[in-house]
Amino acid sequence: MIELLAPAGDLEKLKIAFLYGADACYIGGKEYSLRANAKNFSIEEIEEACSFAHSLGKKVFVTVNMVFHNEDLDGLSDYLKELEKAEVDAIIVSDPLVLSVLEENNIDLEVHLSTQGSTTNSESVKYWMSKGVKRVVLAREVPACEIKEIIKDTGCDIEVFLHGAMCTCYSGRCVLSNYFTNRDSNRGGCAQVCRFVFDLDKERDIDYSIATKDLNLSSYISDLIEMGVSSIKIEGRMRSSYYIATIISCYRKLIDAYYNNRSSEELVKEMQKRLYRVANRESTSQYFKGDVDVNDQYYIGREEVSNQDFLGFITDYDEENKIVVLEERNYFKKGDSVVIFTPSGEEYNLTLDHIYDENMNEIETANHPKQIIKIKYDKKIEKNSMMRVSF
Amino acid sequence: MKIIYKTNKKFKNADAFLFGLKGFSTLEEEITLEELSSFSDKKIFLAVDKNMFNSDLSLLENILSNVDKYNISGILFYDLSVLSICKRLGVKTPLIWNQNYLVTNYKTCNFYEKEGVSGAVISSLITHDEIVNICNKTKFDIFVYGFGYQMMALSKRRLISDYFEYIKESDNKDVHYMIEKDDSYPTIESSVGTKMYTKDILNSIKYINELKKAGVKYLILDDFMIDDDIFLKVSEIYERAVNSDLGDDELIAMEQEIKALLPNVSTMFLDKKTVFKVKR
Repeated sequence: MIELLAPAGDLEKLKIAFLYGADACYIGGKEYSLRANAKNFSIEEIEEACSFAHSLGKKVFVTVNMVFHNEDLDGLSDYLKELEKAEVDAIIVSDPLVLSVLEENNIDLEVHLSTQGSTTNSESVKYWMSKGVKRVVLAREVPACEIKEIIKDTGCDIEVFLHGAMCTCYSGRCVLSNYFTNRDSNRGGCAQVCRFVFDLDKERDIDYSIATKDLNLSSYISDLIEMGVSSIKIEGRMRSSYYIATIISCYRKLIDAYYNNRSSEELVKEMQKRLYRVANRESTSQYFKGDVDVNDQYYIGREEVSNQDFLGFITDYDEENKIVVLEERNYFKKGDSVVIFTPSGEEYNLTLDHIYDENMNEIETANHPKQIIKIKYDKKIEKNSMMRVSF
Repeated sequence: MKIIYKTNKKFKNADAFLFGLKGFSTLEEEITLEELSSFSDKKIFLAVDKNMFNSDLSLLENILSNVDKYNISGILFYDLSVLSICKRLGVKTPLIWNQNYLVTNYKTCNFYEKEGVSGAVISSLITHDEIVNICNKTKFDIFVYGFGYQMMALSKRRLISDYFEYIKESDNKDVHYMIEKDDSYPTIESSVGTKMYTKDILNSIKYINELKKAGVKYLILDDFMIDDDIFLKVSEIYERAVNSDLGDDELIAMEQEIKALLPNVSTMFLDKKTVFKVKR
């Protein structure tokens, strides 16, 4: 069965990702990761993440995918030993010196090659396999027909990006951030210069941009499964819990529908609607069907409206009084139509006839983020479910 | 230390040239294997540095299987398929690890040395101290970019063509400028995609003695976007610096001399460390 691989920026998001259907999560430690400015995980948190994942029969991969400078080498072997002790299921690397350090120190960790290595062909995949790499994350530039060939040629575990933001350039081959902001893109400091707005040649009034639309392969789940891809990956270690829950639950439904012979265009359309709402950015299949063109780029007029669909996080259900307890995230009011979606995939549509505060005083509006709100509802709602606007 | 010229001009006194292999490089100056014969008395380094796709592999293997017949001093590779194919075919021509921005530490150099690679082109993103440190800890032949505009990014996308299609205008320029505030970044589209270059020109001349002493074997001078006459003058200055025993004061004077010719020269990251953890 194909693996659904989720990003997780912290323990809460990792647990959400697993509860909503991820088979594995990739996380970054406090050092050596390409998201140096994310919250990231301490060793103790990595141990807890692995313990939680393994109790569910799921996996945790840790990114050690920075491109090292001499000064970054101190402490690397100790860190890798700690990851081994924490029983992480694999590390994701881009710099092959990590392979040398593992060998020299007799550290037994499964290695996946990061997309930062920009692996785009069978010959390179074979090379990395010969160096002991178990899985290769292909560059986003590889089209479906060549992904299929690579799997056939090499027999390697192949991981493919499924959804999320795209780099404009080949990963590893872009240092715009270094030159524009002095922040080192290959050591986790990328300032996303590709999202800046430029002028081209100063000859016209129309802005120039090199930003891309997002990747979205929700229409191609069956293709990915049938071509033998081992793992499909969601981008976004710095995204919110609501984003993770929504994206994972959508793709979980699409994958399960395939294996249960229940795939349908209606399901894909419904999931695509939700995927669009949560990101508020346009998406395309990018390189999957071949070369990209003007329609895969953003030029002018791009608007990313702050998403306020996420209304509350369900923390408890009082079975005796049939009351849903939630923590407010965004404004809602009496009379609103909402949807509660659960980690196990259930969905409930309801109208908020009455809403109450923590002390069961009826209120008209919920407008204080993190405020405890109570709602009467007859059906038992799982803890960790989420409430969103109805659309 | 020897100078390698990345240029399409035949410099009479030059020892060595760097060209891209036609259809397989990111360089502006490309050449076929057959055309190499006109440089028989020169050292030629060949960049085979584009990102390879499965559709490229058959022709690439065919070319690499013949490469030993030509007197090539080194193949500068980016994609690991080149290393993999050369190892499998037993290619004798030296291989030079040229993953631009990734050549930033001695230990990865040593990894590739064990793979049979002979040298590395050091990243232009590290300081002169870091370059020296790498030189001290590896047996590799070290190549350093000494002068020229640096490529900041390579995209497979046709960013310029797509933009002109979007605004419904025709494009009639070879070089465009991506402008942010008052800074202009040369941008070029070619068969490998879109290449974005630095606003400034790297000029390492004041570090020549230090690099020579550290054992840097080759210094690459690039004439991309530089006026021919000016580049000739710059190359003469560099030849003097490399081939003479000059003091640091003289090198600083040479730096000023070049600056008078090209005001936008810079030492870039040679004396400026990048950061990656941003304090909040």
